[in-house]
Amino acid sequence: MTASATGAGTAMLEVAGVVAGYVPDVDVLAGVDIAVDRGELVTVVGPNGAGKSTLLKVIVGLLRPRVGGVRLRGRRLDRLAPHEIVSRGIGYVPQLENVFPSLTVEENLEMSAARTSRDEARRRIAELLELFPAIARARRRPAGLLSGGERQMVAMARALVPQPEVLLLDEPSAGLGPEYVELVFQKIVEIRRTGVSVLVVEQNARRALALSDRGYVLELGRKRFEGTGPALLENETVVELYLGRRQGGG
Amino acid sequence: MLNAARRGTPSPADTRAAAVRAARRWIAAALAVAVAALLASRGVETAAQATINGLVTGTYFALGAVGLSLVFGVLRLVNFAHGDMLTFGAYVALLLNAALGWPIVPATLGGVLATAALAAASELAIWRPMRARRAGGFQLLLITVGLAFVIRNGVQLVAGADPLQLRLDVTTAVALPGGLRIGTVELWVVVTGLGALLAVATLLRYGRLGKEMRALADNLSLAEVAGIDTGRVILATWLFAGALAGLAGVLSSAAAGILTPNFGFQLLLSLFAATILGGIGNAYGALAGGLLLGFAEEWSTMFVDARWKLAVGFVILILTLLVRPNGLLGRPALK
Ligand SMILES: Nc1ncnc2c1ncn2[C@@H]1O[C@H](COP(=O)(O)OP(=O)(O)O)[C@@H](O)[C@H]1O
Ligand SMILES: [Mg+2]
Repeated sequence: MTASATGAGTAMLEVAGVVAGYVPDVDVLAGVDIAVDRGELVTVVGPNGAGKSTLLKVIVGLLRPRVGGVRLRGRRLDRLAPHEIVSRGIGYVPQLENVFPSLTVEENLEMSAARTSRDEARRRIAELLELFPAIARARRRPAGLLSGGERQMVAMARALVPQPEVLLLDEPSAGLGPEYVELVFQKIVEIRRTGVSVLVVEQNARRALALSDRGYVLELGRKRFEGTGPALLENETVVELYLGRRQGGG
Repeated sequence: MLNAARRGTPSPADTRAAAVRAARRWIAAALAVAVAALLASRGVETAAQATINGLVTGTYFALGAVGLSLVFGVLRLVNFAHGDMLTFGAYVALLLNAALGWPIVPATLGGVLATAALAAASELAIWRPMRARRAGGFQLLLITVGLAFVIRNGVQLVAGADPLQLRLDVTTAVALPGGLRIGTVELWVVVTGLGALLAVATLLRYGRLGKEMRALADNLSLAEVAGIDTGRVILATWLFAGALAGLAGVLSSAAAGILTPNFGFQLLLSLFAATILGGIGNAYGALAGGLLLGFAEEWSTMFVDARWKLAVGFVILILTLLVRPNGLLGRPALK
C-alpha cells in the first residue's frame, strides 16, 4: 500500500508540483508533491507557517496554484470552484470557524447536502448523528453555543455528508480538551475504516503519525521528509527537529 | 467562543443568565404597560388610530429593512442605493398603473419584478465583478452611493420631479370593531405587507435557500467549502432584496398617496435604523425593528409634532443600543 502511493497516476488524490501563495511574488508552497491512496490515512506535520493549511486550501480550491495541479482519481481539480471540488468528492474541515454558528447542528449538516434529495439527506444526517453521538442530543441547538470539541464533531460530520472520497482535516485536535482530542483521533480511525481516505494536518504529530499509514514533513513550503508513520517516528532527524524530545502527551 | 456553556447541572453562570432573562421580561412588561398607559392618556380612539398608522408604516419599514439586512448579512455591503430601489419599484408600478392603465395588482407585481431584476442586474454588472477584483469595503460603499444617484436621477429623468399619484381609491374605508376605521388602501398595504413578511420569515427559517442565506451570512468561505454554490445564493439574495424593496416602495407610496423621486432616499435612514435596531445582518431583527420603529414613530405623533417622527425614531434607536449594543436580536459575536 505504501509503495504505490508515490507511483505516478495511481493515487486517489495527487498534488503535483504545486506552487501557491496569497500575495504576488511570495510562494507559500514552493513545489509540493504529495499523494493519498484509496483508504489511506496520511498526516502532514511541520512547524507553524510551513504551509500545511495552505496546502489543504489549494486542494479544496480556496487558493489557486500558480504552478502544478491537483487530481482526484486522475481528474483535474484545480481551476474548479470550491463547491464543484466538494461535489467531486473532497470533504474539508478548516481549523477555525468551521461551523455556521447561527444554524442548528442539523442545519449545519444540511448545508452540505445540496446535491441530494430531501429524504436521502435526512437519512444521511441521521446516520452521521449516530456516528457522532456527542452532538446528536444537541441537534436542534445553534452550533455557536456548543463547546469547541462539539463544534469540531459538527464540522467533521458536516464534511462527511456528501460521502467524500477524501477528507481533509486541518488540525482537528487543536485547542480541545483531552477527552475530545481522544475522541477526534478515534473518529478519524473510524472514518478511515469506512473506506474514506483521510489527509490530516496535525500539531499532535506523534499521536497522528502513530495512527497513519504515511506521513509528510513540510517546512517552508517544501516537503522535507516522507515515509510510513512508524518510519518517520523512528527517524532521528525528524524526531529531533519536528517532533521535539519525547515528552509524552503527544 | 471559549466560554460556551457546558451542559449538565446548571452552572452559576446559567443561573445568573436565567435571572437576567427574568429581569429583562419584567422590564419589557413594565415598558409595555407604561406605553399603553401613555397612549390611553390621549384617548383610546386616538391611540388606536395611531397604532393602525404605526402598523402601516411598520409594514413597509420592515419590508425595506429585511432586504437591506439580507444584503448586508450575506455580502457585508451597506447598500445606500436600497432606498432608491424602493423609488424604482414604486415608479414602475406607477408607470404601469397610471400611464398604461393596468389595475393596481398587476402593476404592483410589475414593480416588484422590475426591482428584483434591477437588483440582480446590479449583482451581475457591478458587485460580482467587483468581488472578483477584491474591491475594498470603502470602494463598494462609494459605488452604492453613486448607484443611488443614478437610479434616482434616472427616475426623475423619465417621470419628472413633480409629485405623482397611483390610481387608487383612497376615499373608501373599512369599519373595524370599536368604531375604528382603516382606509381600504391601508388595509391592503398591511395585509399584503404582513403576508409577504410572513412568507419571508418562513422561507428564511425553513427553506433551503433561507438556510443557505443564513449560512453565507455566518461565514462565506465556509459556505463555499461546505459545497454551497455561493454565487447562486448571492444572486438569489439580490433578487429577493430587490423584490422586497419594490414591494415596500409600492406599498409606502400607496399609503402616502403621493410619490416623488426622493421618497425612497428619505426612507433610507429609517430603514438603516430599523436594521440596526433589530441587530445588524439579522433579517428577523430587521423585520421586528421595522415594525417597532413604525409604531414608535406614529405613536410619537400623539405627543410631538409629526415633523419630529424621524428624530423620535433615532432617539429610540440610540436608547435601544445603549441597553443592547448589538440590537434587539443581535448576539455578541457568536463566531
Ligand atoms: N490569508 C493569508 N494571506 C496572506 N498570507 C497568509 C495567509 N494565510 C497564511 N499566510 C502565510 O502563509 C504561510 C503559511 O501559512 P499556513 O499554511 O497557515 O501555515 P501552517 O498551517 O503550516 O501553520 C505563513 O507564512 C502565513 O503567514
Ligand atoms: Mg495551519
